Formats: sequence, structure tokens, C-alpha cells
Amino acid sequence: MINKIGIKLLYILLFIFSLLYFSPKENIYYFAENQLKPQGVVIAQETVIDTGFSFRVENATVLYRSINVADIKTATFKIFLLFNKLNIENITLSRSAKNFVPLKVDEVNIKHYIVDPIHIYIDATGQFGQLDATYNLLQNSISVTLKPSKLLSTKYKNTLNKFKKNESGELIYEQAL
Amino acid sequence: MNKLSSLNYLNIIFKILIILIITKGISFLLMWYLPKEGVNQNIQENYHPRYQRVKFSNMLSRGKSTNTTGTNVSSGNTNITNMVLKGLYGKDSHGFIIIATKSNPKKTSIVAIGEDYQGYTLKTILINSVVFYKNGSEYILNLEKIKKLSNYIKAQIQETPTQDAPQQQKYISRQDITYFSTNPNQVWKNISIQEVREGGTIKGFKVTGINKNSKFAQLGLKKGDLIIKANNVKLDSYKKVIKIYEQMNDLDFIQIVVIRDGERVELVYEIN
Repeated sequence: MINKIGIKLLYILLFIFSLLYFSPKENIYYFAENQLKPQGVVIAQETVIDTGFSFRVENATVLYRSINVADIKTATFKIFLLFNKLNIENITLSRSAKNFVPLKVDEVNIKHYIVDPIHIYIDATGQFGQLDATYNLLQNSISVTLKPSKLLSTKYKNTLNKFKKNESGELIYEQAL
Repeated sequence: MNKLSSLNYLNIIFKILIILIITKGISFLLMWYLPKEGVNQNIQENYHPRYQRVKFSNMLSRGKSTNTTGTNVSSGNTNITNMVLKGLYGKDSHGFIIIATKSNPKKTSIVAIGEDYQGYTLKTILINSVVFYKNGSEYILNLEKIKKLSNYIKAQIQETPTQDAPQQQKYISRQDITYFSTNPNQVWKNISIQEVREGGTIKGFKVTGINKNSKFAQLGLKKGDLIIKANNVKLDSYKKVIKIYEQMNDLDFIQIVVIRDGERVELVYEIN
């Protein structure tokens, strides 16, 4: 009996993994791109590479309302059973943001866990320092904890105006969207 | 027993194959249903020629032409290295140039082929330079290099203001520009601007509110003004607005055309 249940479980796992492996990730990505277009967001000039259980987008330029917002060297989407992860590396923000934030972002990780479906976790590092954020899908709110770099603290003081200092000296930003 | 076992294995392999075929089939269906191409947008670097004001009164004091008048070449004291080529219009032996001296770069003169400037005769117009002739020698003068831009760009003669576009020239300090560009909150505290669309495209940006004691009011902007152009660039997209904002530090003049009470008004700010 247990043997039969075990085999059926294996069949189910095989079905899920093979579906993940064979799924047309490039087309799913294009579908997502089409959904973003009405919001004014376009990801242009990118190369999409299917790597089996994940897929990679290279050399992308992100535009909002035709304005160049950022250039991304690599973005890797990893789709697993228990969590999904988007890793973005080497981001250069648009020159028009140079008065507000440092332009180089080394890495951004966006994670979503099946066991915690209402939250999306974001962490990032770059010239601005270190950032941890949680986006609540139910409340549509975001909470950001920032450890600013010396550069951000000294040259971009105005950007930090919206942050509040907590007891441990970290900068906190909370906003319902 | 062995036969049964082999049958079991065959059964398992058969089921695995069925699962793989089903998943592959589902992925084919998805592929057929989902878009085959993504959204793309050609990113074109906007060519925004440098906005430059040229005093046309200077055109009246042209140099003498050696070909037409036959008079002696005027012997100017200025060396060619002290000249600044502001703009060139034409090619080879046709056209004219806008030129000034480094000591007085704002006093521009227009020189046509064959005419003299400071004792040098304009011989040929090339892509980014011109050839002058003096005392049997040829001299090449390159087009003025715009600071912080990698390319040489042609200077542009400002559109002459039309009768329905009265012109107001004011001065603005670079410190103010730097201050407002680094403190956008201060901008929005003093002025509120909203896009105005017509038939789906942006017609301009309307000043919906302005603090009367603010810099913006001092500069001549009024509530209800519809800003339609800046430095001869039609403001019909956010991209163009951002582009001008990005170039702000390289500009010497800002020209804004607004529609005020149904009339076009040109506001010109000299940055100093």
C-alpha cells in the first residue's frame, strides 16, 4: 500500500518537474512583458535564454513610458516547487536619477515562498548600501529597511528624508501602495 | 515471477513516458497559446541640437569678400587659434559658418564661402571643420566642442520668435538649477504641473498651481500656462522632458514656449 502511494507520489513529482522543464519559459516571459506594456513598462533589447529549470535574461534595458530607467546585465528566474527566485545582477540606473541615488546596484534578489504566499521578499546591495524589503500582497504595502552606505548618507541626504530611524539605528520606510 | 517483474518495469516505463508526453503536450499547447514575440522598443538616442542664441545684428557686419569686391584682404589681428567655430551650414564651396573669437564668444559673425573674417578667407566647409586661407597657407578650424558631450554637434540658430510668440528673457543661476534638480520636493512645493493630452498624445504640460513668491513665478510662469516646447523640442512625451532635464547642466539657455490665454509666449532664460 505504502509502496503504491510512494510510486504515485513519484509520478506526481515527475509530472511537475517535467512540466517545469518543458514549459515554454521564453513564451511565458513574453506573455509577462505584454502584461507590463499597458503599465508603460517595456523591457527592451534583451536576450532570453532557457536553461531548463530556470531562464535568464541578459543585457536588458528597462523603460518606463519610453524613458530609460535602468540597464540590467543579467536577470535569472528560478522556478522551484517551494519557492521562486528572481536574481538581478549589475544594474545601472538611468543618468536622470543621478541627483537622487547612486546609479550602480550590484544585486537584487526577489523571492516568493509557497509556504508564505502573501509576502514577497526583496534584498539588494549596491553603491547605496544594503536594503531588505517585504511586500505584502494582501495589504498592498511595502516595508523597507535600509543600511545606507557612506556615499548615500553624505551625498544623497535628501533621498533619505522619507526614511525614519528605528531604535537599532536602521532606516525604515513603510508605505501602503 | 521474473515475467511479472519485467511487466511491472515495463508498466512503470510506459507510465513515465505517458507523463512526459502529456507534459510535453501541455507545453506545446502553452507555446501555441502564448505570444511568440516580446514587446520591443527601439531605443534611439535623441539628437537634441545645442540651443544657442545668435545675434542676427552681427550679420550686418560681414567681412569683405575677396572674390566680389576685389579689395585688399583685411589684416585682422586675431590668430586662428583664438577663433571659435560655432556652427556650419553647407558643404564644400557652398554655405556659411557662424564664428566668434574666444575673447568675445557671444559676438558671433556669419561668414560665407569666399568672405573674410579677421584676415582669413573661408575656403571650404567640411563635416566638422572649415578651411581658411591666408597668405598662401590653409588653416583648419574645428567645430566648437560642446563640453560633456562626446560628439561635435552643429550649433542651431534659434527660431526667430513669431509675432504671436512674444519673448521674455530672464536670468537664472546655475546654483538654482542644481538646487532644484537635487531637491525635487522643493520644485513640487512651489509648482504643480499636469500633462495635457489630446487624442491620446501629450499636447503639453499645464501649470495647475504656482506659489507666487517662488522662483518659478519670478521666472514668468503663470497658473494656466501650457508648456509645449523647451529648447525647440516639442514636449509630447516624458522621454523628451527627461532628456532636457539630463542635459540641463550643459545648457547655456533654456527656452520655453507656453500657450497663455490662447497665445504663444516664448520665455527665454539665460543660465549664468
